[in-house]
This record gives sequence, C-alpha cells and structure tokens, in this order.
Amino acid sequence: MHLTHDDLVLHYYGESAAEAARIDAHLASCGDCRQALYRLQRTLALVDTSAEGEPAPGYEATMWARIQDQLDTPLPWWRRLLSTGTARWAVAASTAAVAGVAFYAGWQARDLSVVPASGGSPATVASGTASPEATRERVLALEIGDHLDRAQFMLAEVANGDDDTASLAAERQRASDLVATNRLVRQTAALAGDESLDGLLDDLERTLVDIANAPDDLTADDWRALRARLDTQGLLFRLRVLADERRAGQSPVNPRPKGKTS
Amino acid sequence: MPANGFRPPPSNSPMHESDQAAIAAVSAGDPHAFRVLVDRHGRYLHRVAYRLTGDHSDAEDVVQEAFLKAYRQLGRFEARADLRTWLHKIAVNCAIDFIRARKTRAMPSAVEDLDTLDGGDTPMAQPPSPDRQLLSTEIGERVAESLQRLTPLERAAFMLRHLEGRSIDEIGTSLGLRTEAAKHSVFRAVKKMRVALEPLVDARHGE
Repeated sequence: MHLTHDDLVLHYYGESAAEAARIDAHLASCGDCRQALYRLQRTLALVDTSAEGEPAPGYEATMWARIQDQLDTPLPWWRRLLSTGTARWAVAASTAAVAGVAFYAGWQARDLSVVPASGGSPATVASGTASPEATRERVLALEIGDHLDRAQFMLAEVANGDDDTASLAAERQRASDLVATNRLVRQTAALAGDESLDGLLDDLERTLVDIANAPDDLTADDWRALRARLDTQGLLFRLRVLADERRAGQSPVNPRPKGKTS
Repeated sequence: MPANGFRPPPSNSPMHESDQAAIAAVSAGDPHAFRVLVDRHGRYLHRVAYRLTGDHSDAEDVVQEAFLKAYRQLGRFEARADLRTWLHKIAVNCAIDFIRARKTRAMPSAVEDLDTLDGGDTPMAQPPSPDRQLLSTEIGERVAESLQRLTPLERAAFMLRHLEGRSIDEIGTSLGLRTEAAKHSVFRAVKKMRVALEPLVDARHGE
C-alpha cells in the first residue's frame, strides 16, 4: 500500500517521528511515493515564492496615525526604570510592591474624584486632576488588559497542553506569577464596585492557586478534572469576552452605579 | 524546511542603530520616537500578519495591536536581542489571538464546508498557460488565490506550520485546538494547495 497524503505531509514537515521508520522504508522501495513526495515539495515551494500581503504605499504613515494618539502617554516610570539594563533585576521586586501600592492608591484617588471626601470640596478635589486621572485610567486599563491576556493564554495552555510533568512545571510557575497580580486587580475591582470583574477574577484566582500548588505527580485524571472545571466554569470564554469588552471600552473597570459608593 | 523571507531573522542578529536609538528615546519618555520602529518594521509585520489572517484590514488591526503591545512591553525587551525577531513574535501572537477571537465569533467564512473543496471537484480556474513569462505571474496570483480559498483556521494552521515553522502541537496550543484537529487543519490546507498548485508544477516542467 502506498503512503497517504497525510503521511507525506507529516514527512515533509518533519513530524513523522513516530512512523519515520515505516515511511522511510517505504520511500526507499517505492518510486511512485518518492515521486509524490517530490511533487509535494515542488508544490509547496511555490508558496514560498509568493509576495502576497504587500501593503499599500504610505502604509507606515497610516499605521503611525492609527497608534500615535495611544502612545501619547509616556511609558510608566517603572517601565522606564526596568529598561535600564542592570537595574532591571535589582528593582523588579520592589517595583512590583510599589506598583501595587500605586494601583490601590490610584483607585482610592479615583473614588475621591467621584465623591469628595468629607472636608474637601468637589472643586478642590477635581481641580488639576483631570489629566492625570485620565492618564492613570488608561495605564490601568492597559495593565488589566495585559493581565487578562496573560491569564487567557495560560489557561489555553492548560486546556490544550500535554499531560506531562514538563508542561505542569511551566504552567505552575506561570500561574504562581499571575496570582499576585490577579489579587491586586481583584482588590481594585472590588473597591470600584465592579462586580463582574471581581467575580471573574475570584474564580480565576482559585484556579490559578490550584495550578500553582499542583503536586509534581499530577495524574492524567487530575489533569482531566482540572480541565473539566475550566469547561464547567467557562472561565476561558468569560475571560476572553471580558478582555474584549474592556479593550473595546478602554476602561479599567466599569463605573459603579450611582449612589453605590463605599 | 522551506526557506523564505518571512521567517524572523536569527536572534543573534545585531540590532539596527536606529532601533537602539528609538528604544532609548522611548524609554526616556519620548513616545514619538516610536515612529522610527513603525517606519522600519511596519511593512514587514503587515506581511506576516496578512499571511496569517488573509485580509489586509485584519492585518492592519493585528499590526496596530502588535505595535501597541510592543510599546507597552518595551521595558521587557532585552537589548541584546533582535528587535525584528521580538516584534515578529508579538505580531504572530496578536494574529493568533485575532484568529481565535474570530473563530469564537464563528464568522461565516470560518464555517465553510471543507469537504466541498476537497479533491478534483475544487472550483479552481483552469490550469495556467504554459508560457513561461505568463507563468511566473500566474504562479503568484494562483498562490494568493489558493490561500484565499482556505478557511481562516486552515490558513492560520498552514501558515504557522509552513512559514513560521511551528510544530503541530504548538499550533494546536496556539489556536486552541486539540492536536488532532490542528493536524487535520494542516492536512486539509495542504490538500487544497496541492489541488490548486500542482497543475502549475506540471506546466512548469512540461515546457
């Protein structure tokens, strides 16, 4: 029997390791299949010659116009600090802590701008804060969007990855990294009264903690149970929907209903 | 593995001086210096994004998102690395996110019945003219036409395998597919490309 189309494709892309011996042996003895492989190679080589996808003249200016307004906010100071080479690792831990405080304080300040604290007039609170507030909101929106993106990607890896210890070790580390940020974002959402984000991040945190603390000898059944829980909660889908919504709205959290302040 | 101009350059390529200067300026607080990177790499990233999405408008969205992500993550960029390689990875990931989102929303073009294009009944145009001069032009057109006939998922899986050199396992993970589903997307894409392009191979060698 000759090699199938699928055999030839796997062989062409070097993905036939499991059946390499069978395919090689057949190719060595079958001129028709060698010819079929040769035709496949020549056919797919045509794809490499295509210059498809060249953008129109002036593309760079168009692209710059699309992103320019969104770059007006300079990189946050901690990002600038992190980009200075040797200081990167030395300040990473302290930056995370400071960013956490700033994150929390930012939302406290946001609340004050909505409802003046006792002893301060609305005019005093609002005076001179509009621009920094807008800037902070945009930075926070980006940070939350980044976090949701990273969480989505990690859960997709868990949902679709292999049931092996190497995969587990990588995901465990990533989950552990995400837990701290998740708590910070969740506290922010809770303070702002954003129940949908708070609820989702609460579910996410439990899953992240489970993954971060998973034992080394996680069995295939354990993996299945974990994936089943992801399916049941629809966590990945909910994350994607929320991330899309936040991205579209460019708002870090949804404003709480009027009159519901804390 | 096929070679072509869309693979990212080796990671140890020296970074262009204007890239270094732009990154330093952006890091120092001048966001407008980022334009240098858009001018130098935008066109390349568009070709990468287009090959994965198959649509210029979608590719523009992907490149925009990629540049914004790169801007936000510039502090994480390792100065010793090659910027184009780094941007290429971001753009591919953005394209994958885009394709996955599109898949979730089940756009009509994504649910095309694959079997209708299988085999010899594929409604492709007639084999090209054997004239060599016309053939070169026709090859480019036919490749573009063939790629457009793939479903978005097939196109993404095929391009990730063929041009990005990603393994089928990686493609499955990236696109949110089981490995078998990713494998079959690649198989079907290659089958469609063969149906469309093999007559060109024959014409080329029949002269």
